[in-house]
Amino acid sequence: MPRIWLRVHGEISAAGGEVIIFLITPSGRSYEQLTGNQLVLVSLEGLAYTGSLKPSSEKGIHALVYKTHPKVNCVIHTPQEMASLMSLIGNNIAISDDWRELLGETIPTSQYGLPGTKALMKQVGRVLKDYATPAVLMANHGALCFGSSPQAFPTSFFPRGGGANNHYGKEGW
Amino acid sequence: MARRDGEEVTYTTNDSPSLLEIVKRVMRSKKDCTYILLLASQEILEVSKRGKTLNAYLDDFAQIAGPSVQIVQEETTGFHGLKHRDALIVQGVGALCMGNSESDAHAVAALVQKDSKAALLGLSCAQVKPLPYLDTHLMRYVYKKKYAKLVCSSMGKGKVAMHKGI
Repeated sequence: MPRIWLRVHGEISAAGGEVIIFLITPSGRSYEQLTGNQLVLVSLEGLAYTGSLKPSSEKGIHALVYKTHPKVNCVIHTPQEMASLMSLIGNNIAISDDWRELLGETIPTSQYGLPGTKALMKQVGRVLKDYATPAVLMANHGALCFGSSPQAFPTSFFPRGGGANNHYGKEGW
Repeated sequence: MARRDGEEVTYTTNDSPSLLEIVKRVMRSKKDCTYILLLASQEILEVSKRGKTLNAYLDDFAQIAGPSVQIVQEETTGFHGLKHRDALIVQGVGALCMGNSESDAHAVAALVQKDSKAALLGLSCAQVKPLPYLDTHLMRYVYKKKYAKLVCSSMGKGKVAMHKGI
């Protein structure tokens, strides 16, 4: 999997087959010491969870992705530097030919919402419905990437050296 | 630049006496801080010339580094708000990044670096704006009260540490 920054921010979830439940990283746990049995099982409908650990506060956004894209089995939110910076610009990103097969023609940016709130879910939900891409930039918040497996994540688009760097240069900085 | 081990604080800087004095004052005033590092990137140095604060453009910066970070001159005799912030930018010198461990301080440093780039991006892109003031304070409050506590708990830090740093 491409290098991603998962310290205390960002979260990852996975599901199998027809998604009615998914596993997600817990809230407020150090990723360095996280073990498999600390992942939290969350129901797609109602977002109920089992166990003593709370799921990530962004579980609602992950559920939205699974609902909108039934073939998706993995979702990641990463606040990596390039994705975060591009999310501030607010425009949809036109994808160059090199990346179009993986990403489609554009990566949309959802409008700002406080993290962990329904307002953010609403903004992300809008772009998930309107665009058939495996990635969404969330304004001031980072990138949401999803696919059928972790290998299908388009996270490599964002770090320096990736396709995003070319686009970033065009913005004049 | 500084490390606290119990009551003992070790300073490793060879920088100017005035910078060392700032570091000492931070360590004295911020008892939850056990580690300070200095990050002097091109972006932070540029930001340090351009105002009195680095505002939060990104939510993780607001939560972990603070709603904003003050920029002071090296000869300053006063800074404020450090109770609610984990970084201080010294003009022309770099960012003092604080944490409850070396790892925590590095996390703050990465966020200050990222937010400095965002601030510079804002100079050329009019649509790039800082986060709303109240939102940044709310993010920081929620993070410190709930999230940071959980992280420290999971890392086995003690009762005192649970309320301080990430």
